[in-house]
Amino acid sequence: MKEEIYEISGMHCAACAASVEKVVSKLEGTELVQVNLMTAKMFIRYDEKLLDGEKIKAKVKKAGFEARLYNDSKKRQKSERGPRLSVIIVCAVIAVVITVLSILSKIAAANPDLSRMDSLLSDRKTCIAEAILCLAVYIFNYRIFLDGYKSLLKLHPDMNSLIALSASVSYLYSLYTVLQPVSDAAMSAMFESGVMVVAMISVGKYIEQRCKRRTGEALEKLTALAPETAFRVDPKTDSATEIPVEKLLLDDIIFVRAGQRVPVDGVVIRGTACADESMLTGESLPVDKHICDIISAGTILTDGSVYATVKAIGRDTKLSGIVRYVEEAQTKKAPIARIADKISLFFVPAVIAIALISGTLVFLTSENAGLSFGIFCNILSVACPCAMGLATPTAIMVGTGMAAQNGILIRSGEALEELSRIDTVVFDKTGTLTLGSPKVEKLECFYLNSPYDILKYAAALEAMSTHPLAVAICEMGKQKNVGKSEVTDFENVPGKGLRGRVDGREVLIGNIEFTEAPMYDDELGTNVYIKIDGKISGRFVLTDEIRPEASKVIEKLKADGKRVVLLSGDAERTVRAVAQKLNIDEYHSGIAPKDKAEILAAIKKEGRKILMVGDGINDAPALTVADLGMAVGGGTDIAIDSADVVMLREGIDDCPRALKLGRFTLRKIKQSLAWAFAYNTVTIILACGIVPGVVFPSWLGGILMSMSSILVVLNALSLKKSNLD
Amino acid sequence: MKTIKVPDMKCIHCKERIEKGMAAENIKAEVNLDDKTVKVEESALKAAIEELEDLGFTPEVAD
Repeated sequence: MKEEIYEISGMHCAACAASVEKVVSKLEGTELVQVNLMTAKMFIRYDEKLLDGEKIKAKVKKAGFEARLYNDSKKRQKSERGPRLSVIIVCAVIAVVITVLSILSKIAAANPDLSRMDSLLSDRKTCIAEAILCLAVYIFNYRIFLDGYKSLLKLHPDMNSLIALSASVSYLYSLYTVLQPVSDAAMSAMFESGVMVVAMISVGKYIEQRCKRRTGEALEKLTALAPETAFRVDPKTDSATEIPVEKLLLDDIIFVRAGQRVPVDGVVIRGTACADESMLTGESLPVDKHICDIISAGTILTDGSVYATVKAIGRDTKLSGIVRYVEEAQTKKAPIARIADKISLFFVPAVIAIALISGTLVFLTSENAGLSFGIFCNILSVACPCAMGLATPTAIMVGTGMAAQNGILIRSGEALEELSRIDTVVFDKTGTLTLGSPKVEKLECFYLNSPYDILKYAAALEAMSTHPLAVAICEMGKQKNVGKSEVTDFENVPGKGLRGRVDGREVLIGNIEFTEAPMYDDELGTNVYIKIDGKISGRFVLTDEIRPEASKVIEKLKADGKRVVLLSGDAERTVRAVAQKLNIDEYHSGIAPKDKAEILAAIKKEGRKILMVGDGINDAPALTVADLGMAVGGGTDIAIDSADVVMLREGIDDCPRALKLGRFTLRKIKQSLAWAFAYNTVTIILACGIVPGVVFPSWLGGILMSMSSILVVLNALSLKKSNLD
Repeated sequence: MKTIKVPDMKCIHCKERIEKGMAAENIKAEVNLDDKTVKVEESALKAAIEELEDLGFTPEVAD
């Protein structure tokens, strides 16, 4: 039996992975095949007498994918990162050179004193050189043309279509005039208009591309949460051996110790432990695990150790379920329509119509085919939207730069545009609106004990534990300066409490069962009792502290007219308390990660645009379903990778700021587009030759276009002056 | 024309894979992602079904 791991490329969705698994398992000799979509790897166990690597690769290829043995493929990691900066700069330089030459040649032609320069610049050879350089720039940016024409043919033209169409027409027409035997035909050549736009657009796209998130990374990190090895216990000898997780079978017995990550979903059969399940549920306090409790892959045991029976492995674990949900939601996510594309949708047909009508009218009135064709091409070329194409990238560039200065990381241009359309903000509770760690809210003392004494004994004992509740009580002790008393006969009972001797007195501190307190847990929060020398002397009430800025942030959002919703997996009482304190009218409690996503989907159906703010993996499904996801800085890596916006500074202060920035940026984009649109309309009308006596020289067009573009850039830069508070 | 149902066609990439696969086998096919169907000439039916299985889908003949 041979075991191999292959890297599979070309898989985009769960169906693709299933297809690969299906076809490979049909091969004779395959014993086990498992395909992992997130890591793009296939694990296969096969009989090498019947099967070999070549047959496997061929079968995968027949299904439409590529397979490579994992070790070899590490070399070919030259990822598709898009065009390199150096080539983009070369294109930009070429564009500038051609524009300058063109303007100079037109000026020289008009001025008899510059006849020598004129003859040099208008020389056919110079023009042909320009044509070739121009073509080089176009070929390098072929994607703009390819995508542009594709959308045009689908009758759904976008910005690319506009650029592709007018750049192509101006190029072909210019080429045609240059190749004419008539010597001054080169005057009409206008290579510069198209090449300038294309070069500038490619610079803009490169800048946007640098912030783009790579979705594969987030999912990979999620999978990395589940360890690669597990300790399998032989029931007869009770000895544990470390084996790769893939080799575990259902109903095997595993052993997990404190400090280790749980490898698979299982049911505890022996032992007790505390598990940190925050990555799955958002619950910040460790959860007690006893016999018959479920432990989940990816969680960490903080205390104790357990033996468990394996109930779900690999794809079937809860963790994988969350990952699959996220990846499915990501493929279903509709691309955000960008405003520049929306304008192009009607602008392109309008321009084509105007060009056709003008050309036809001129032909009918003058019977001059050359002139009409010239006007037709002129109009299409003049529509070339240098300024329009620049409007969005420049504003986005300044916007994301400003955001970065304010500690806000925006992942894409679309995210920045979409921020302005958000009308609903959904918050996760633990870790987002709260600090995520418990704090002592109240200390009740009984039997005339002083708080100082109670705290002294409690802190002494809790100093010996790393449990979050212990840390909170110690923190309070430090604040009240109770010092560190000595503890003897210390005992830690995981999930229940601590026991020991402080100053000769027997102290027990823990939950209600452990301390056998004759009371009720009637305080909102976690109730921790302290028993000194057999008498319940006090009770600590710990709650998850709300972030100090939270109330102001909610107020700001509501003042801006946003609907605020609170979602949490915690119990109703706790969530209600937080909602009331923060003045949030809409809240849901006790919900699992997938339910969060479903609630968001329901709100989306009402036509709202949702921003989800969260910090944990359990928020990953919701972060993906929301129109935009915002991760709290200091949150988990996965939340950060699945989010469109990341607040790098601690806290949620920057949430309203990010929304404001989005609004301002979109306003700038609209302003620039409006200006560019007006300019284009005027020049098109002039190019039609409708206004009598006004002949529109193409060099003037070039100069005006540059000026217009500069104005757009300046407008974008003015964004820096905005106040985000 | 015969219609083949392909319920596990999930995304646009699945559709592209089918189109490419059919073209490689010289089968003229109409792939519809919304209905999850592939339409071919009756003469090419057997070859189309074989190709769909090779691609990892589960074809069901509808008509």
